[in-house]
Amino acid sequence: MIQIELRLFGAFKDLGNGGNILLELPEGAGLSDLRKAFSAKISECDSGFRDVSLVQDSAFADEDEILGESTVIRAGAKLCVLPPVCGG
Amino acid sequence: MKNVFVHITTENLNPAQALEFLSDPGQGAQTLFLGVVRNNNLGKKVVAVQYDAHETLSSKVLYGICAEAQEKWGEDLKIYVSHRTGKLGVGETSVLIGTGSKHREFAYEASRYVIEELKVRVPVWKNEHYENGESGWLRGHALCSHAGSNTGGRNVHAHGAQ
Repeated sequence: MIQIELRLFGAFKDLGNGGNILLELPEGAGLSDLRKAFSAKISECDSGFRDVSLVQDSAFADEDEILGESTVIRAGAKLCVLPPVCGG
Repeated sequence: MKNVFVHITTENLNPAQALEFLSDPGQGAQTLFLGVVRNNNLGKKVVAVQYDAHETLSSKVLYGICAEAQEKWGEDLKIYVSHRTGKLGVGETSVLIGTGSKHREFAYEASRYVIEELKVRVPVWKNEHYENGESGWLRGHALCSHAGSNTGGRNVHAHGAQ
């Protein structure tokens, strides 16, 4: 297993303490594994946030770009979860 | 990037600074677009909006949008984009877009292009605060290609900059 850090934005800030969360993923994990682990983490939290469907509509990114679906996630990666946007 | 200024900030937005950036004796048109927080949305009384942003990615996407605008309307097109983060009250400016061009047609079209693309591509989120003490994050436009249809199409919950 590998561990990664996920930075929360938008509605996901209502999770936990609103900062970053740590997730454990299998070696060679892709974005589908990340979505699965993140959804499970949401269900475990007692924050009252239950909109797990938002995970399916969210993108993941590092500091520079949105990750493609074929991305393989490295151990220790620092990623961000980006729910649907609504700036302006 | 030449002729482009992009800024994500917690400070008040400054139209005078935008006009100064756009100033050019060779250009005859300048536009300013201000998106402001309004006091209602979907039948609810809004008292404030909290803006959250992925700052580095927002800047990068905005520069990309501005580059696209210059491809469409010329490299001499000047574009100033500034977006607020933090908690804004009703009437405060959340986004400021300035364009400058030789002709008004290009300046108007570029301004419209930048705000429409910003609303669906830039990682910014809004948490509305209502008169009754409740609050809620607005659901917008998914950035991922596989997303479900419930967030497809243009942002249907747009607030302020409409």
